[in-house]
Amino acid sequence: MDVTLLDRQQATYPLELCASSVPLFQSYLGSGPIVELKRPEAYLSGDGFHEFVYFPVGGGPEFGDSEKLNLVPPDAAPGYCISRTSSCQMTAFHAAAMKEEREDMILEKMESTPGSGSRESFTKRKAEVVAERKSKDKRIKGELEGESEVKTKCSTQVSRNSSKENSKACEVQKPDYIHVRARRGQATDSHSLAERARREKISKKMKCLQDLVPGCNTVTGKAGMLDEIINYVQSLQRQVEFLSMKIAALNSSAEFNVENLPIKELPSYVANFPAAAKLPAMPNLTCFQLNSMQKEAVNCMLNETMHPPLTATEGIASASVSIPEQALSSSTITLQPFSTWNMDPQGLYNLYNMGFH
Amino acid sequence: MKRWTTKREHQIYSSKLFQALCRSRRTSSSTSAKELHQTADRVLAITAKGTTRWSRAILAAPLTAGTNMKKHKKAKVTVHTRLRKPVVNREKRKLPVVERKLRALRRLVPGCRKLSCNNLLEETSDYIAALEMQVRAMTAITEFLSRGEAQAPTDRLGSIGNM
Repeated sequence: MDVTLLDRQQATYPLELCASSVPLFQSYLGSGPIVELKRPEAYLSGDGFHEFVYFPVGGGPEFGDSEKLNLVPPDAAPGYCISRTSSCQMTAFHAAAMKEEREDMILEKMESTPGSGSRESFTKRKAEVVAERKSKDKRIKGELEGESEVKTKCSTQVSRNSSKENSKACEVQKPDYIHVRARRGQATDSHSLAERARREKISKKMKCLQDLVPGCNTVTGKAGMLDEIINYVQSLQRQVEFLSMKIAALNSSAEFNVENLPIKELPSYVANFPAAAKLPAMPNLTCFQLNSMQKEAVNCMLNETMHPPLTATEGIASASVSIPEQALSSSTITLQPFSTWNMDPQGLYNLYNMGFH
Repeated sequence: MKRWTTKREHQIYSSKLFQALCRSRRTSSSTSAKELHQTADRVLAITAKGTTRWSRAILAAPLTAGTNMKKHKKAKVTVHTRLRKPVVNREKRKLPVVERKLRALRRLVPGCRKLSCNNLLEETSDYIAALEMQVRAMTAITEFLSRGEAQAPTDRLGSIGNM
């Protein structure tokens, strides 16, 4: 989806939208994002239209959350075309529907190449000033900024004005910059725009993490989330350490009957292992209660074992995870097999929270 | 991130780990927990195929680097400073709350000490997914091994749970 604009510096290729795909296109855009493309024919006189056929579109697929726009090539030639340029320019079309969606953003495209008669109308526009300032900054900053601009910079549309402007904007040349109006009430400063883009990236990643980490739906804000993340990573690392201790113990105690344990069996254990399902917090309480009852049994087991690394924490953890039905009387170390194995990392994590915090 | 949830990856990891285990069994008589931990981490990093920073850091770190941890130079708060201006200092220290947590996170994820917030979060999500898979695989292995052990001396252990 990301366009390396520099690569496409020279190439402008048309993406043709057929009339039917415009609503599709809009549906991709959704409510949040930014661009609304409409048919230019609404405000263009038909004859001059074909000249305006190609004009650049910037960052089409970037709208929304990385949704790919499947722009269907139209069968009809006199459809309007949107072509991409290196600098990701957008042309926003305006139509009556814009009135309903005042909040929607449109990107305006302006041309950098002088010389056309309609340029004069641009110079009068406020956005031009802003745009030129931006163009200077953005050119230097590179295409990524430009793309984020496409995403974040939107203009509250002034319906009729922009229609006229857009019609003149449709002149096809090779525009270089995205000239956008900032959202209502927000700064147009390039710095703040870049910051906004950066913040949005970070919040997106925090949302991804929120899905990964269990039990952080209640927490909002970066600090709380980071706390949860840190705790979770720590608990996972502890689990791994504990498990490695266990395996080492099993390894040393078990006789070298590797042949008896066909490795083909291993996949069956692996396959039976449940996918990471997030356990609710309730089972922790029951486990914990069982834990206290079983502490005696665990202690007996521990006393009988000769293996030093079995620490109390390990014993408790293993007891809480498994439900030993009888204390072992053997003198060799045996770790209780897991009779019910429906725990998964998140479950163990919750357990650890109970046990260690 | 999604690759850590597939069964295929899980199988790959578990089998590799198991093989490493068998190898270590043969070579050295005793497998310490630390070695095992390191082996497991390295196998995990290999499974990551070097696409993430933490995996590369794990593989790049020398083998027995666990004990060489440099202690972080924390700001020592002596009594004097505390008596002088308690409020101001505390406020100043606590202002970048998020920053401190990011610092803590950087310490946790291997190889991400100087990463920006953005990339750090990305690495963290991948790391978390990988760790989860590691835990799953290792528990499967422990179950596997314990079952194997339970099977062998069955007479001594009597009836062991429902395996």
